[in-house]
Amino acid sequence: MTYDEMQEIWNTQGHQLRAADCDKALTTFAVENRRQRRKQLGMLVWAFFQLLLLTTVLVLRFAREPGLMADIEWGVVAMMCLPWAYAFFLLKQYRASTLPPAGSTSPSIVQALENTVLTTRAASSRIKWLMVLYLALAPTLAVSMWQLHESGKMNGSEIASMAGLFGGVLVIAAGTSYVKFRRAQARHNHVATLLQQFNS
Amino acid sequence: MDRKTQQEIFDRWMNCHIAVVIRVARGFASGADCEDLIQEIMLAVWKSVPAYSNAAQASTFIYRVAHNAALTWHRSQRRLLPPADDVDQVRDGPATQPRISSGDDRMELVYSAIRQLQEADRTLILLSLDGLSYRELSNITGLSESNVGARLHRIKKQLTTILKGQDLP
Repeated sequence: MTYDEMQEIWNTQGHQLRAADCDKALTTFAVENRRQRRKQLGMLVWAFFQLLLLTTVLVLRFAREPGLMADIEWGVVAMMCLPWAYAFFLLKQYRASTLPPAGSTSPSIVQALENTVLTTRAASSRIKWLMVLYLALAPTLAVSMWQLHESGKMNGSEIASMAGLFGGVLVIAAGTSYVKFRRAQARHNHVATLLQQFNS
Repeated sequence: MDRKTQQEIFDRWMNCHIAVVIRVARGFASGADCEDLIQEIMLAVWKSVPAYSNAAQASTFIYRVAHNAALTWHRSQRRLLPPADDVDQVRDGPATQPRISSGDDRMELVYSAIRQLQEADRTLILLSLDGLSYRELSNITGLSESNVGARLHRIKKQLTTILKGQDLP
């Protein structure tokens, strides 16, 4: 087949798409788009619920018992602040996911790719900082548990349960972040290669 | 922009340009990946509606968004499509329809040859095959017109070599 034959095939058949294929693509999109939006919102609500429920319960418990709020350990306060910081980070991420993609706001594909290289680099960096946050959470958790144990507010078995629960959550969260980091790096490399293809 | 207006514009665009979306997707992926890419491109177009300004032609805007989405699409990013039953129920009952058809075998040969090119070259040749001028290609890609011309010359030679090894059915 020559290039001219290829162009001829394209001109005669390239524009003839089956109505059923177009219809299927549009219907799938309508269903998928609605499902994705619901899923994203559901995950956000669930993440907020999971992250903030425990701290809210703890705050309410402290608030209801007179004098307890006054002797609260600083490690516990620090530990209660971190889920809020993470929750707002998730909210910011959700809002960013609804914005138009780089390809629509840039005047050309090359500029869109340049923007994407920057945003993917920033995304990798954000995930790296998130992993640092998890690392910071581990000693904070250990300090607050030690303080609670030393002050006699929690016994050994309660501390062990707490360590198991929070430690497990931390390991899962850190592992997930690491996978996300690797994916973000792969995406960054892919876009950088594309940009190189256009600029070479 | 409210969601209703966004949906109206999107529907209008898709009525006129759905073929562009499908052609771009087939130039970058085949089989189930192609279906997934069609959805990714449509999602990119849908999200891009608020960023559209009337100064640009809608078709040029859609070409740019579609190619950008196809270029940056990564197989590992695949989202799971909803079960076929969901789609069929919404559309026309429980009957199962075939997936996006591969169409004529000769057309599939053309797409197969295009998919063997580098991603940037696929974009250029797909736009060129659709009949866009060097100036339009330059506007969409951001490359100079002379660069577009030189690259297309090289890509056509490369495609001829690929196609030479393929037999027509």
